[in-house]
Amino acid sequence: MRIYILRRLLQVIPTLVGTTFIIFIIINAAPGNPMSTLVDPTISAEAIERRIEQLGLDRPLLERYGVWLRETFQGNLGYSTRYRGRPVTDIIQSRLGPTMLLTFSSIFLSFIIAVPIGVISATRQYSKLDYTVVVGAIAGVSIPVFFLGIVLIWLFALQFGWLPVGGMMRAGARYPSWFAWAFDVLRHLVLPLITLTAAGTARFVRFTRSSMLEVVRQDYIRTARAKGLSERVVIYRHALRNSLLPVVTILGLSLPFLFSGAVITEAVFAWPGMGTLIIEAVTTRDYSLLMGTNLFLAVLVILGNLVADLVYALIDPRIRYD
Amino acid sequence: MKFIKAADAGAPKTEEILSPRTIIWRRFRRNKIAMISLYVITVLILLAVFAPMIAPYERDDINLQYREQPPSAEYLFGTDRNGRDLFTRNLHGGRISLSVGIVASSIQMVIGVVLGSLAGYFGKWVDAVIMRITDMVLSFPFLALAITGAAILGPSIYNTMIIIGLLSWTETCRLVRGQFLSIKQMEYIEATRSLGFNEIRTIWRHMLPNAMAPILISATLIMANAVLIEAALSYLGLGVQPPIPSWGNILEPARSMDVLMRMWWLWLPPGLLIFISVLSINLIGDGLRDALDPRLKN
Repeated sequence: MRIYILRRLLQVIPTLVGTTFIIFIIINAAPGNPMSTLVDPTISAEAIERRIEQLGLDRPLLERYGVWLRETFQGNLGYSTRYRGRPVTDIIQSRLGPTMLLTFSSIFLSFIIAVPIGVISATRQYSKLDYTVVVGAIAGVSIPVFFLGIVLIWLFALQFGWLPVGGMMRAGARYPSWFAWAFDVLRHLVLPLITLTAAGTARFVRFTRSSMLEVVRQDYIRTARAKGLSERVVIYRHALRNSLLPVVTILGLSLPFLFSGAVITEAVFAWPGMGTLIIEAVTTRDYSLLMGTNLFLAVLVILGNLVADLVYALIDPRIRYD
Repeated sequence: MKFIKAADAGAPKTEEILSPRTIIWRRFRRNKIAMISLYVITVLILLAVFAPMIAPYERDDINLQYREQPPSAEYLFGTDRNGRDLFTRNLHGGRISLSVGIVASSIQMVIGVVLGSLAGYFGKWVDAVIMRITDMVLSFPFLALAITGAAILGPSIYNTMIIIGLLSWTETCRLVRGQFLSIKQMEYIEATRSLGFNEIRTIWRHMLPNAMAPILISATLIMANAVLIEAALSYLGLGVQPPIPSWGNILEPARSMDVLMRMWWLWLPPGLLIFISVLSINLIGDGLRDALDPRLKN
């Protein structure tokens, strides 16, 4: 077990290095140099030349990567041009909360909705209900996230006026109490949450269903039935527990997908999280910010997968640690 | 012979020799939803292919007199803010959106099959390196990196195809690798070795065809995804650039609440078209899985 954990931890290192390198290369492929947008056009070419030399932008790629990596490990992701020199880590910190609120409540909600549906559908394989669930789940992953968002805004915000069109709270609002603030955030959260949860639920339903179908065919389930246990106990005590094991891995593997969904959902609803931050960084050509956000999301995913793998090893005694 | 009977219950008793393709096709044909999807996507593809002949107007024709017209007999899907006919643009948009899907999934398939077969066939350090690369690409939130890539390379149709292709090969790679690991143990592969075939030929002629079924299924699902991602990128203004229409960028003006409120005909049809085409491709993929999976024979 200890060896497995150690090996899994060591695996993270090349992945992290490779990931940072890919991000570095992509951003460096950008045309022009940071100077071309930063400085006053009246400054002489020699002065720019000197500045580029000072900043080390003329050094070889690998050397710059090394410097960048060193700084990154010390928690310095550079400074944003869009936010007038604020440190990128600062900005990311301020955007992290909203994204976490959105994605984690979405994971939680999809999980709660998807597991019972998946289980019921699997226990009645090939029934009308199962058929509907399968097709419905495929439909759920086929709706463009932004289109669903648009339809929801149009219906519930613009036509009925029940919910706000976007943002996380009313502009310039001052809240009399903590409760009023939370209520307003919640109101703003409803539509983006539904949008993001729809696709997530559809995915989890498919996983739970197929995992359950796999488990129900196992010998120990037959044994449980043969013992004369009621169908309820067989399904919910014996089968469900085992079929939820791989779902842990799926949760980990779904992180990139969820963050992708969050990026577009945030864009549609102007939710002030990491997704809107990336789009801001792209549209204002703020390279440090772009690099920082990409790096941060990638690291989050790598850690998420790591945690999922370790948890899986902990809860499933059948895993062999060779 | 049980296999043939199961697939062909209603046929006359005389032994009929069926190719695997026929068996799969017969099984697929029994799946009503998959068949409907096949018809739908065929119609959409035909509309896209013949768009220039079907479309009542020129693709980019601007007619400022008829701006923001709701649907009418003259303009079936209404007109946009520049007075361009939206029916025409949706037809042409399908051309772009579906080609991006097809090209991007072909790109990913080539990368995935090549890397996956190398990893699966040669194993050892080749496998280790390729799997690490796969892990890296998998650990990126797809859309974040796609947005970044589009911004750096500059948004265009070709870059959209390339970016989606470069980011979505991981699944195919893992699949091919897994298939190869098990096929490598088969006796007929040992036979090719004892016959002295070269390795490339063994991979290409003997291993790949046997790994084709799952690759095909996953290719349809990846293609559906590619259409979705193209739409998302274009909606954000980072994919296909106007005046070239794609289903995603026709929707782009609906990012303004004012347009969203007033001009439902601008965003509803392309959104539904994306949904319907992605749904049909996914359902076809699902039907293919059922038809190809020997475990689900009955």
